[in-house]
Amino acid sequence: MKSLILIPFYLWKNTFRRWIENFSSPACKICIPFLLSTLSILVLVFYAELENHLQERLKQSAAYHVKVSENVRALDAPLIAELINSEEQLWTQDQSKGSIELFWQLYITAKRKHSSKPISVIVYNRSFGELSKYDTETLSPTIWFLTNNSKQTPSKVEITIGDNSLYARTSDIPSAIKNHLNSDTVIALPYGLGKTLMRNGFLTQISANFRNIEDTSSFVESIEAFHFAERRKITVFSSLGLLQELANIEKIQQHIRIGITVMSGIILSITLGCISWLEFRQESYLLALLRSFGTPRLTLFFHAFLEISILVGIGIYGAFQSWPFIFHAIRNKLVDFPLSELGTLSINSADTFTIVIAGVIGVILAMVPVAFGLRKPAGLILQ
Amino acid sequence: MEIEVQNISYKYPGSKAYAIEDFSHHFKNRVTLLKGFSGCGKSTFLRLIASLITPNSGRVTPHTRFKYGTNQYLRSHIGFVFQQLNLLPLASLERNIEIASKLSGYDPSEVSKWIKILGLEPFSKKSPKNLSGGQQQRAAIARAMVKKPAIILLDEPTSGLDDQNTTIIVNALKREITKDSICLIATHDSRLDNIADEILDFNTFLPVEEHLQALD
Repeated sequence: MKSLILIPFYLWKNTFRRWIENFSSPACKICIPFLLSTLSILVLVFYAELENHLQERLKQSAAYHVKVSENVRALDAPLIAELINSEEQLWTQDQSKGSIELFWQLYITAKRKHSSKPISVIVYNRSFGELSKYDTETLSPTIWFLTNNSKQTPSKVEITIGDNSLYARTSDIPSAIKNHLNSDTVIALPYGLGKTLMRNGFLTQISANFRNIEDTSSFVESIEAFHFAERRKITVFSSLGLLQELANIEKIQQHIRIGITVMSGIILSITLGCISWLEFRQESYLLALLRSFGTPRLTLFFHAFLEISILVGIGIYGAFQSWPFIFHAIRNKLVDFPLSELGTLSINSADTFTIVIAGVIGVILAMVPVAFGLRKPAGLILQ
Repeated sequence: MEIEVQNISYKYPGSKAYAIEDFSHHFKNRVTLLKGFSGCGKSTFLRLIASLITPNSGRVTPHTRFKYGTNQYLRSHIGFVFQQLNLLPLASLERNIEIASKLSGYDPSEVSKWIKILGLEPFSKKSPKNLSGGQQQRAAIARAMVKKPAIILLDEPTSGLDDQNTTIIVNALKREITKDSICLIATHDSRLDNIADEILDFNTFLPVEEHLQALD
């Protein structure tokens, strides 16, 4: 065997013997990174899980829904009614971030034949895809009789608006309209037909649904800026304020999350550093002896580095392998808090990187006492 | 083989007094015995020659291929027998000798040769803790000699040894120390006097106050 093999061979033999004789030392070097990494991973996973739940609940509670209303008086109505196509296109041209639908509620009502009950009238245009269909009989845009009881209502209903008698097709009320009007029956006129009725004033209603806070916020900012520039007054209903508060909390949580990982790294460094220092004092005699044979300090330093890296590596690897089992056990205990299935969970690469970096810093700091010890002249240690 | 020592001084960290102060000597003889009271600086001097510690001032200039203080210097030119022997506890006696030999790139046959010269064959597979003091002492000498060092430094190599063990060691040293090497032996043992070409009394290099303290 060459000396380059013989010395490391002896060092490893000595290391294994030390591990067996003093089992708590390697156990600590594995357990501490394992426990701290597992803690960090679980904090990160539960945090991500909490965030997912929150996002889901926000979606379910229509938190990303924005309602915009504009009361257009009779004075401005003729001009704005003419611009409806371009304004609608302005807001609905990019549907990739969410769905945006517009309709215009008139200040007149309609009646069903043989009924005195007033029915709200709205005007729809291209943004209402489900209403923008041609009537197969008249081959013109459809007039809709929208009701909650479409199954109990004839498919064609005769209505009167002012002095005009019209036929309307029966259909369910789209949810966007229902949310705005809170009415069980509505007459929807196509823009071409309703345009003349809009001259008496109307209420523009915009219903927008997004998937995240950024797009919601961007839409609200745009629509407010546009109407401010146009000197038009709108009323915006959204949960944006609440969402922004949640986003702030999220940012703080991110800092806390990073803090936990960094603290884990620091605890790891200090603990490993202390153990290394105590062990180095025991090992310094052997290392000095090997140095007196002319073994380079670098070889001894590299051996110590490799030894601690292996143990810390096993600990961190163990944490990455075992967290799903721990999570599964916790999931079974927390029946009140529905956690996701394991298969849907993962740790993102940035978090993995942070944990590994914390481990590497721990190893490097643990090498500081070894480096200092190796600087001490061998002649001061050997007698 | 020669070593030029010029005005070296050394004091241990944290100590106010010099262990060696302004010492100069030109070593050119084969075997030099360093004699003197305990604490007069003999062991410190050997460590300085080996570059295991470095002088605070002055210069050690060995006429060797590799420069003083380098790993190659330690590996190839220095054979050191420490007072406490310092055998590797986990390695067998043979492996202890082999490690030193391999580090300097010497032939493994030298290992068996030195085991034979010092009469260590029956114990060569044993670990140091299972050897007697004399056997350990001989093993430490074999480990130092196996790489044919140019500078052999022996710190009390026969202290506490019986005449039989001492004779084995003295004969081995007489036979194996060549003209190309220098052997410095720090000792109180007069049984080694007959192999010395030169005897240096380290007491004469002590400062007067410390000399008086040593005499007390």
